[in-house]
Amino acid sequence: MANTRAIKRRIKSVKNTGKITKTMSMVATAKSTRAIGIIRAFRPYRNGLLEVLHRAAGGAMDHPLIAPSSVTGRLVVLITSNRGLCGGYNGNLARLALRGRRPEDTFIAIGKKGAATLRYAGIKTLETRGDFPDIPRYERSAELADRLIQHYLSGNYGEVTVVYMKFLSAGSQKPAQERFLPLTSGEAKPSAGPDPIFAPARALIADELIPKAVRAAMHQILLDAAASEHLARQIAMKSATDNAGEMVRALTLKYNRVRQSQITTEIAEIVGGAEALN
Amino acid sequence: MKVELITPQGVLRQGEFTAAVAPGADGELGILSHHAPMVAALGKGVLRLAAGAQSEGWRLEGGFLLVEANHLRVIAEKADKAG
Repeated sequence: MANTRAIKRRIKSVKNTGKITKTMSMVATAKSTRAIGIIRAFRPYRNGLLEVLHRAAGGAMDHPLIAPSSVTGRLVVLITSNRGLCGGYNGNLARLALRGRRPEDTFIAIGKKGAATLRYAGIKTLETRGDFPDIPRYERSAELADRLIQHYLSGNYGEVTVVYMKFLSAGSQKPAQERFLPLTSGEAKPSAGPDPIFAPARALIADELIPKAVRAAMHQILLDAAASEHLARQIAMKSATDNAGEMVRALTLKYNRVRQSQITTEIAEIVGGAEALN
Repeated sequence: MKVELITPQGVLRQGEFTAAVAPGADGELGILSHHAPMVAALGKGVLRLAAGAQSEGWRLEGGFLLVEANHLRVIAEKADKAG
């Protein structure tokens, strides 16, 4: 028969774990709410840039970051989290990246978890970064985008793709591999009505605009990834908390049973002892 | 005209103004209400917004300006209030 003290100790430990996971879930909730707020605030900027891009793209645009390249090398940027305990978040991303892997691929890992997976799979990475903040900041996103532009313009890669968790809504995120460079100029819809005035000339505006649009696209990707990560962690920790509660209930039941049968045995012994005296 | 000052952090300023002077890449651009549609690149400088006697300034480091249907959008990576 299990001893009551051992069960009691176990209940206490599971309860403590439950407290920790509950806190983690609450922290993740706060962070995901913040990330979603930042995504919302970022939307007007991104839409504004896209609109300028569409106006300026009325004429055919000829820019090195838009023109398709004939180089075969591909740079794959895997964006994962720095920390675990977020359910299948990192696993799903790594699986997608490895499944779509081509021999000409070179990897960059953003996030410690993805870096560790690639290392484990024996895949060399060009760069790994584990220092991106929980809540993306525009300057950091811009810096990463500029770095990828440099890599792309070096002529070693004909394409840069990004593997990340796309944020569709608070209830739905899905892993995606998308082309980052050359930039898809979007649906270059012919601008309605007469052409606007361009100052300076259209081509010069495009030169200014395209790097900014690439930076904005990277910021959007990192924001999506962050919101998805915190949501995944929130859900994983919520279910861990529920499981801990379930376990405490089962253990308490077991504890009471053992305690009761112990009392019964003791009474039987006492009664037996008293009988023997008669 | 309706004016919006937009950065990656959100819409910093929104309101009705009668005149704006923006630091265009090739010199200052004055925009009054009902300006013709326009797309411009901005340089480093101060964006001035005026409504009657009230006026305010925003320091910009490049960006874009989009005028359309009496709606001026200034899109900048960074903007700071400059009195």
